[in-house]
Amino acid sequence: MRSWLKWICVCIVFATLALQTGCWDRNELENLAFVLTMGVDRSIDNKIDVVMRIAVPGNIGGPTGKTGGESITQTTKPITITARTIPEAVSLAEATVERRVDFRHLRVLIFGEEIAKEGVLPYLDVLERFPQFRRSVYIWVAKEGPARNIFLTAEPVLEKSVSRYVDDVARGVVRYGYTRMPTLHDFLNEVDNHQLNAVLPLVGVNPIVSSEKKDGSVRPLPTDKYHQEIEGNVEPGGKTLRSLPRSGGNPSEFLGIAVMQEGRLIDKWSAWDARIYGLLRDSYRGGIWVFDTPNGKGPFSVIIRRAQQPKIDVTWEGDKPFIDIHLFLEGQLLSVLALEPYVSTDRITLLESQVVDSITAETSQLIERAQKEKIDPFYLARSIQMRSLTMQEFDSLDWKNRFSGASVTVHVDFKIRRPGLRIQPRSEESR
Amino acid sequence: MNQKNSTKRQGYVGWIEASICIGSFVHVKMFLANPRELCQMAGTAAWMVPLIGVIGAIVIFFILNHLTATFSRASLLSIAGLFWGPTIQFLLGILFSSLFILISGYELRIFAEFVLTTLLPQTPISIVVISMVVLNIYLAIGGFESLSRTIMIIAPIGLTVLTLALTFGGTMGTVYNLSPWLGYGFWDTLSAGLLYTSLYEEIILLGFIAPLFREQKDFRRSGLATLVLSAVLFVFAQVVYEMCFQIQSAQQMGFPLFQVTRLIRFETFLQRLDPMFVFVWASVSSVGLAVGLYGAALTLTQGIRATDFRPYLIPLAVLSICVSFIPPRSLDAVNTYSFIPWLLQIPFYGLPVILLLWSKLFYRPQENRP
Amino acid sequence: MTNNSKGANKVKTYIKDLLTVNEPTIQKQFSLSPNRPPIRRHLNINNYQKPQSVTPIPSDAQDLHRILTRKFRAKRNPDFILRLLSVPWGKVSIAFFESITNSELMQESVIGPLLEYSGSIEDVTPESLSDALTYCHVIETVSSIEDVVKNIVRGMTFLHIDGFDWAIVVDLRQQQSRGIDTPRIETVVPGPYDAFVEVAQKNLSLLRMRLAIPGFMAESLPAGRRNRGPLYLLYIDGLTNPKLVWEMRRRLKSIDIDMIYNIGMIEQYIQDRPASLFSQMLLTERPDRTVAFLLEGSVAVMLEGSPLVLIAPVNFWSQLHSPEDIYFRWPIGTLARFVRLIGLFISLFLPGLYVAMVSFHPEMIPTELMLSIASARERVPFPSFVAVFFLELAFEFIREATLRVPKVIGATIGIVGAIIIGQAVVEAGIVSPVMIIIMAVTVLAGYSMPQYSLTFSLRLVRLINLLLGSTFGFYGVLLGLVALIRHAIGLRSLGIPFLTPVAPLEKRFLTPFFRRPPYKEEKRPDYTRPLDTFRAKKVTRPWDASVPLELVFLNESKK
Repeated sequence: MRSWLKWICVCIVFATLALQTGCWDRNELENLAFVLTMGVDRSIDNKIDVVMRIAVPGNIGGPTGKTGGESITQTTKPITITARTIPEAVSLAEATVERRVDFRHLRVLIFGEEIAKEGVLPYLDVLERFPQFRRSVYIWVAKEGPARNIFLTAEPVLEKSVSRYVDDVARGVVRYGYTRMPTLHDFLNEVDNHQLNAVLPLVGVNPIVSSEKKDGSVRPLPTDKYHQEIEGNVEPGGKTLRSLPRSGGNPSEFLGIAVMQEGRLIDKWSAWDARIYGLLRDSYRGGIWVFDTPNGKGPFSVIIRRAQQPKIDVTWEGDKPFIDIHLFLEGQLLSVLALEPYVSTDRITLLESQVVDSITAETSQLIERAQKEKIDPFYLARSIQMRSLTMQEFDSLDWKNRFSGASVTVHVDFKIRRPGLRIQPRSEESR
Repeated sequence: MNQKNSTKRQGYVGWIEASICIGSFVHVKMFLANPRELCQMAGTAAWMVPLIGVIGAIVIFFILNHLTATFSRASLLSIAGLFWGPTIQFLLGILFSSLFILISGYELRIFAEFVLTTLLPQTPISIVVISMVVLNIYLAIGGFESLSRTIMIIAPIGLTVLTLALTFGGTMGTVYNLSPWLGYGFWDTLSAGLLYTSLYEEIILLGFIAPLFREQKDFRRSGLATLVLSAVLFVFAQVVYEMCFQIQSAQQMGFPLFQVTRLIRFETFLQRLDPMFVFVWASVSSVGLAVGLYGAALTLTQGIRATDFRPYLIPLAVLSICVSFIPPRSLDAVNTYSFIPWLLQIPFYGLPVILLLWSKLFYRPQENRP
Repeated sequence: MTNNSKGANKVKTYIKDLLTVNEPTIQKQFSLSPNRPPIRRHLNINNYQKPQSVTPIPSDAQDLHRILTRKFRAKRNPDFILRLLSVPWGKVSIAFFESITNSELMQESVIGPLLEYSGSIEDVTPESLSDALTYCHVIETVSSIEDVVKNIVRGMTFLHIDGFDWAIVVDLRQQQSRGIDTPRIETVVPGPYDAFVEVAQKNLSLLRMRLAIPGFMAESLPAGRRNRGPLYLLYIDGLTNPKLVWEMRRRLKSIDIDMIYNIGMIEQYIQDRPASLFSQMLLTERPDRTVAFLLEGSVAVMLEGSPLVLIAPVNFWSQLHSPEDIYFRWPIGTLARFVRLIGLFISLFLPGLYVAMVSFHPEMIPTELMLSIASARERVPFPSFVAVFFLELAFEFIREATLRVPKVIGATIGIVGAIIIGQAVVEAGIVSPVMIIIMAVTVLAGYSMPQYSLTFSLRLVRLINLLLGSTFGFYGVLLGLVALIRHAIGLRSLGIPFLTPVAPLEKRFLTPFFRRPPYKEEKRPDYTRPLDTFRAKKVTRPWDASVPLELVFLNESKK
């Protein structure tokens, strides 16, 4: 009898628990509008424009093999809401989007240039606080103009899924090293460490490519017109902040980094600088570099990989730090344009020393530039941090100021390990 | 002879089961706000705090071990009753029972807040609390045997997932975040470590379930294993947490270990697995909370010299629900819970010490006890 | 101690007992494991077997015939043969059921010898008569009508000689049965292909064929009141723990019912926790499996008329094991065990987790997959858990239907089911295709369990988990998981914890998951507490170069 009563009671409790539901947290997938990417821009009247790219699952391609949307413009729809804060924008968006807006699949947050200069940290608080946002989203900064432009023009070459597009881009960054793509988590960790400056990737919109795009279709320029457009661009692509000379494809390009000071954009570094930054910050893994041959006859290309962690030694002389940086790189020869017989045990050192010289020069130049601006995005203080005992000691370091007066020496250790499948190039004489 | 027979019937608990079971109770706080508090107390050296704390806890445990060895593994409360009479035993029973209820009530609240924040944001908190308490009663009503056997099934999965989560999480972090090595300084770290001996205060429960052990050796092993296991896991979790988060962030992070698992991503498929991890942790926590409830019922039973703890489970569970609803905000709950253990270590660690002193100084066993 | 002080002590303890409810805790009196019942109830279980009255056999054949005719309604029941045979030395009454008696055997071994019997009627004793019936092996002397009736309904042939108040019964039974067949439920690829049949004698022969030891006991116990029975309690004397045998015998004897139709009924009567969803004993149709369990120290129950054998105690893990694991080499067996463990988990939790994931935690699904599920769900009006219920029901119908329909049209059901489930349901937009995959995997995983009854238990638990998962998401599944584990560890199989050796933790707790090579398993499992622990010599591969020579010598010298 007693056990019978007990079971009845338990059943009633559970039944009431179960019957009260039906709402609460259960949301079927078709009741949610997933925001895949989001942009924040300074709008007029001290408000912000929040751009949300919402996935349209109906166009993604059903199970019956019907062809889905051809591009991200069909699988997603961007909407822009102007509000005071991101949460307000979200709640206003709920009023217009039929389904409930959900951020659990958000991949990237893009800040416009203007708002990045004002400071992004106030807008990141909601991302840290609200559980639907994850600390693994990427943060991008528009190189010029608002982030909304990137949304309106972005047209991936292959991908029609936005999230995969973002993932691919982030993976590609590791491959070529022209920028660095930290997640929100990495960025905030760097912001919290007062001895270094955080960086964010710059996303540019190529004016030529975006001008080719009209009414949703891309019509590449005729060659002579294209050449007119790119005239006067003497520097190789990526050396300066200018957009790449190119036509067709995706207008967005991921070159260069934005250096942030307490969440504010203070400097924009080009793609080449970004690679040097990567070498020093130890975020660089590999990439193709082009250098001039010693006799200046034509450039040669190598793949340069990081061989091991850079070694940073800081010694003090009074208040002045002496920083000794060792970079360890190794490479593989890709092409020698001059067709000169450099590929032999004695002559290949010429190429190597050429690489070492130019990387050393570029590094020193970049460090000088950083010293002038009293910033240290390279996290050179890490060796000091590893050697300091207490937090008070490290906090009172005032590294950025001291770094600006530091004397820095850079040593690069580089070997071309492999020449590839051919040994000596076909030289002029042998022909 | 008669006594021997009667003890033979009751069955014993294995030392591995007991240590994992008590360990899960010790460990509930790790899934809650504990790593953050340690970071606030000791900065980057927070991972040393459990290490320092465990030394103090081991000393206390050896006192407890010595005491139970002297009294052939009688419960602490029975020893107290032997020294000071049933009234004191009664009062101590009520005291310890209410302390256990206090702990498990607050843990219940924070656990519910955790579930609400991570898994079910719109579910009423009472539903989570009540369903968890019902589960706890069901677990505890079978006694320590059922608790320990349940955890024996969950523990392998739980430990594997915990280790995986923390290892994956660790690969997301950098070792630079662990430095400067001494946090706020040597003495600060040391004093924080001593203060946080309270991390292991649930070990006192061993003193109440001592009659369950077959031999003193098992009791000693079980206690040491609990301490070592908890210390290793605390340190591991703390190290990973600090590696993942710059210390300034780490001091302000809600539900620290959950945040660590949220960082885990390998390529496109292996990411956002945190509900899975939470799932496993919460199952370990549910057993831990049940152990707390069981501890409360058991101490009450021993205090009032009743024969069966089961009738007290449901009233005590209702009390723990009441306790869990005392704090009006989750912030209050977390704040109160962060200093309750400091105070609680006075009675928890004090009782065995006083009992041992008393037994050495004043107590003379009667020669011809029947 | 004087008498006086003894008395005073007595009074003292009496008062003490009166005042204190219990002994103080210092004497370890409170029970910490309430699951263990301290009392064994002493039941008088032999009551019903005692005959109500004893009617002596009348020495006059006419009286006897009248009694038997009335008892067996011989006029309306032509199957019952009552015959008065006149032999040169007297009159012999023979009574039997025609349908279960071998008439040729009767002619050869009873009628013939009786006719040739040359002694005088005065000298006939039960002994001399049975000496004369040289062809019969089972001969029993009976002296009451009740015994006679009991023996005749069991199929024995009854012989009475006019003028005596005793009679004998001989066994001339002819069992109708099918031949020994291949297993139907527990098929294995490598391994013996014989299975039990309905006749206990044949089953016993299958077991004796394998077990060549004198200690192998087949104790016969009475079955139900109207059963012919008997129940056989199988164990190995000197190996099986006598407590287990005693307990099983006690439980079997307590079953006092009309009829036991099948061994599955016995299981329900004797299992420790009948309210549980899980079967705590093992039913098998394989003689090799039975022998293996007997040698591990379990007892088995066999019922006349049932092609299955009930084995207890078993642990839960043995329900996940198949004889195949042992017959294959160990790596394959280990893999199979792991696959089944995964199958167990999938079968229990996959639908619940899927619903929880889709409707509570969409962040766990990779974005592309999530969007594709969402796009498939665009046309589906029902919530996910309704779809799961629908599919579960549909699968159940298909299963039932394939069992029920005649074999000839069985294939049709499969086709109908495949079309309905596979295509039409999706086309009509009732469920999404992902759901079909999930449910198919779940059902397949469920049927990968070697123990048939486990599949059904799993299905019920799965529904509970599904309900919890669709109410509370992962948190609900968690509640279900922990409660399920708590339930499972509370189960016992003939007093043995069901999840042993994992919980409670014992030595060799990995055996349920890793099958070790057979030459390393020199001990029987601990949980049955066998009297004979070792089943193999320490060194069974002395010729192996990797076995240290010392070990071989030490073992030799030990002998």
